Amino acid sequence: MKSTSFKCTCIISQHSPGHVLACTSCSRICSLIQFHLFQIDSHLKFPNTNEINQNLKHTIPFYLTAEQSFSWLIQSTLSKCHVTSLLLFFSKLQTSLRPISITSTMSFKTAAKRGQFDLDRYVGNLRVKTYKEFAKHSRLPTIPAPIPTLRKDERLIGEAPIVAGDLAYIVSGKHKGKISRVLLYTRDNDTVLLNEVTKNVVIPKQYWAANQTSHVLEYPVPIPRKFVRLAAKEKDEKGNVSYVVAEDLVFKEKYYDDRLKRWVPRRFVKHHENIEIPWPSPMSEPKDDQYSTLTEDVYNKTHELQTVAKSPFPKSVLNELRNPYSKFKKRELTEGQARRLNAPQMPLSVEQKIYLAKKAQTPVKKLEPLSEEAKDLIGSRMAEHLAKIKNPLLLKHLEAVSQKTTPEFQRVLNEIEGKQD
Amino acid sequence: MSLTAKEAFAKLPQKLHTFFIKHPPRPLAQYATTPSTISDPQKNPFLPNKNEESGKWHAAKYSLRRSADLYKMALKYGLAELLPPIPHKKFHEERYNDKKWMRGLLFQKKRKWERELPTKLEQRRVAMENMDETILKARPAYKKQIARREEKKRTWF
Repeated sequence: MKSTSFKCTCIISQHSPGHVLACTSCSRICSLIQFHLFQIDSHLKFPNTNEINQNLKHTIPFYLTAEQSFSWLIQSTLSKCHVTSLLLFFSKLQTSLRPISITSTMSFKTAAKRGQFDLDRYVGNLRVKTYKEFAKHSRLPTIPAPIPTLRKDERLIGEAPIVAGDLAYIVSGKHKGKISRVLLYTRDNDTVLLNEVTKNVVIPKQYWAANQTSHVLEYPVPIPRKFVRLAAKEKDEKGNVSYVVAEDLVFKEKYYDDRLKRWVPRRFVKHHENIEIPWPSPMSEPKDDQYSTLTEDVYNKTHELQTVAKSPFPKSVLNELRNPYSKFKKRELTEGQARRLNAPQMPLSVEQKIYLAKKAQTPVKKLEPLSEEAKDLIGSRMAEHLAKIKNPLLLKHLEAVSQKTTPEFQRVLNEIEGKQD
Repeated sequence: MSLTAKEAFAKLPQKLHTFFIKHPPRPLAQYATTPSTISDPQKNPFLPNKNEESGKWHAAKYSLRRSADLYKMALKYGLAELLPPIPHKKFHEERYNDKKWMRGLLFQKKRKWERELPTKLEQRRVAMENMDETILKARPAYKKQIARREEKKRTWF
């Protein structure tokens, strides 16, 4: 316990508020909003369930990622196994939080999944082995190995047919025929923890709970859901108790359940659809704490849009929202920005300097217009040749060719003139 | 109607005019017929020239396409001889007259026996003509047979 919690605090203290964290179990990403360090010593004593609960409530909300594990912890602290679940929780915390670095080309989701251990990449027996290997670190050696989690595509989708608080009828195994209350249904490995299916587990004294008096603790054993059926208690007028066991269920229209505070479908026994099995009440009522929003605050309407013609924001707020002094809105470049935009000139090497000096010494070749002699030579040759041509079409063609202008000729003439000027 | 030299010069295309400004016509300036150095005053703009200092070759100032353009245009006006020599290229008929044709274009290759057949037949004909001498060399008694054949030879008389 000591080592576990010590490691745990180390990992937590690596991160500070504002860090982006990803949960390895659910891949959810969030930023650390608040940060409380665990008081290890005080926790080592584990005074009683309520106190742990109270302490954790003050310490846990430092992150949102492990929302899942948080709710699980709250549930499990109410059950018998709070000590071990706390252990599990610590180890989960240890592995589930890690900082992620994101490159510009990568999506946030990809970055969060990169390089992390993913059990879904393992199949078959290897998956079971790997899971058990990992699970070793998160439990006491006396506690039996947990059932491996299902692959994502094998997991149950939609409403869970059995929830905490339900009655379950065991159809197979040593406890066949028993009807027991469900403590917890885990979707990850599709198992239930039952109130009456427990195993005696030896707990070292250092991990004892405050009210624990024996080394032996009753520990609920996870049972795959296929070995249990949903059961319901029935009482007739005479007060005789009978049970209904549903082989399968049918979900029908949804209604708002005020106890659960959400919309849930009504469930009926398949092929006997006149028998409804109501959802159980939650095993514990949610309690208000320093982070919960008060009911009156929820119903208090603070803003209402009256007209689109009028801005919902007062004018004085706009500048605060838009920040006209943003560095991205400045028209002028700072010296540093200008320096970054203009690349510095590379210094010349010795060879380059020698070459340039030599080049400066050699006179630039000047273009001269054609001399009279050359003009005469060309003209006489042309006249002689043209006189021999009898074909009028060829003459016409030559006329057209000589009419053609080129930009290069104009450039050369300009150069000659420019030089002369 | 023959033109005067001045009138004819006015008809010189601008492309050729530009070239002659940069590289004066042949009898007035001399040009090398082989690749030279870049410092050579007689270097040929149609040929690559070497920079002796760096040991690097400068590509021809005028590409093969541009030099062909200039030559063909100059030829139309009877000025081809005034251009610097282009020893590495041939144009028009000259190009086809001295062309080294592909052997396959000039004659059909045929199979080996077909190619050798005329020689073989000739050899056979010659051998048949000289058959008596050949046999005599191998078999001297054959001369009797020749004599008998001569006797039996039919004549007109």
